[in-house]
Amino acid sequence: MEGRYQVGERVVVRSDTPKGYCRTPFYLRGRPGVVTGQLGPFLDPEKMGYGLPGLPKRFLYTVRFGQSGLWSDYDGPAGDTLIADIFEHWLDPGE
Amino acid sequence: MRSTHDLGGAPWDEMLDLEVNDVTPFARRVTALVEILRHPSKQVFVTDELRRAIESLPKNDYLTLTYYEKWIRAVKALVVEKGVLSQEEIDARVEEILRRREADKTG
Amino acid sequence: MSGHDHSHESENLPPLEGAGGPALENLVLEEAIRELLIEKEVIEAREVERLLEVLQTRRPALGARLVTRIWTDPDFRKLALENGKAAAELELGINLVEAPEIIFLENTPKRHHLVVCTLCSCYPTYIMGPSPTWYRSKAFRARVVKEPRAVLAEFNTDLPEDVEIRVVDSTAEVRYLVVPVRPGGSEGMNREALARLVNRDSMIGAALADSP
Repeated sequence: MEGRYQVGERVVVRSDTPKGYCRTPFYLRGRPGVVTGQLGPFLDPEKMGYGLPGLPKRFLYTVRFGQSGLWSDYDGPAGDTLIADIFEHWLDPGE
Repeated sequence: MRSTHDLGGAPWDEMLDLEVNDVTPFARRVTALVEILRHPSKQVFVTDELRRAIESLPKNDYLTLTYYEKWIRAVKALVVEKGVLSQEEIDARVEEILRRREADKTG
Repeated sequence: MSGHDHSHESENLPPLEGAGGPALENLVLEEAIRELLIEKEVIEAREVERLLEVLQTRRPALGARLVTRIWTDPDFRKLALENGKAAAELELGINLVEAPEIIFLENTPKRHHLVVCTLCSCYPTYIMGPSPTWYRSKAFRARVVKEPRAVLAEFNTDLPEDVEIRVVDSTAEVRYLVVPVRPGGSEGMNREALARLVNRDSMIGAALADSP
């Protein structure tokens, strides 16, 4: 299984509000970031959470965010960052 | 809407408590139980189901119970959901243990 | 004596009040579920005993061994950065087949990693033991992604503005272990001595390694 996004590519986390279990934190939804790592395919936690087999697998990425892009009132240097692991079906291409 | 468990960036002005330690014998027993039940040789549930069950606890429980208390409550929900144990037999056994403890104390 | 297993009785009584201990109802709930699962032969009492022994072997000292070998062995460092789990299995001689992926994050003089799990409390327990209680607290999970420097200050960890603070939200399948910067003055120390400088919180990124 190949990942759709390459390291260095800009992405945006989707703004979905699912009813059930998922692993995409609320504070990252709608935020722009950059792919910094391809972690590979993993069983889908959103299905595993309900006792299902977790297929199809979902590709997982490490995505880096600038802190000032997450919080308008971030109280720290512009260089501070945050990384999180986000599944491909939660990412759209960025600008 | 942010879910109760999804805490990142939630307004919170409390300082960290760096002294408290909840890794008690109870915590270790709950951890042992969880690791046995989610081991592939048994797979009564998987980690994602445990997390889902924790997130499904009533909001007040999520916010007030300690971490390992939430785990044992979620284990209860899952073994009932999976039909491994029934709610009634768990409740009955809890009552029995409480009576046993009372008897140990007074006798 | 009744026929019930009372081997943990002394541990079960009484619940710790206000010290992170469970309420009586939850203490007893664990006992009830464990008893019933043993009676129905879903689990065995000796499995629980064995796992309790295994849990005691998981300690921050394991993580510290990995950090010191990364500091001192370039080949091992390369392996650790490429395949964290394989490196941990090699150095510690343990089987991590059931464990999640492990990624080592190297701190540098210009970049400091600080790990959290905002959604639950993911932590590399197999190589660190149970996470500290503060790591699982709502205050830490809520605050650290937004005000990492204020949180670090509560650990007396103050970093200059030109050091990038990189918060790592352990959201999915990977467990992260921070490799702190090797402290000055530790040149020539052997691994055993170095390992004593690697405190637990430094492998989360809440603190620096101790100075010799």
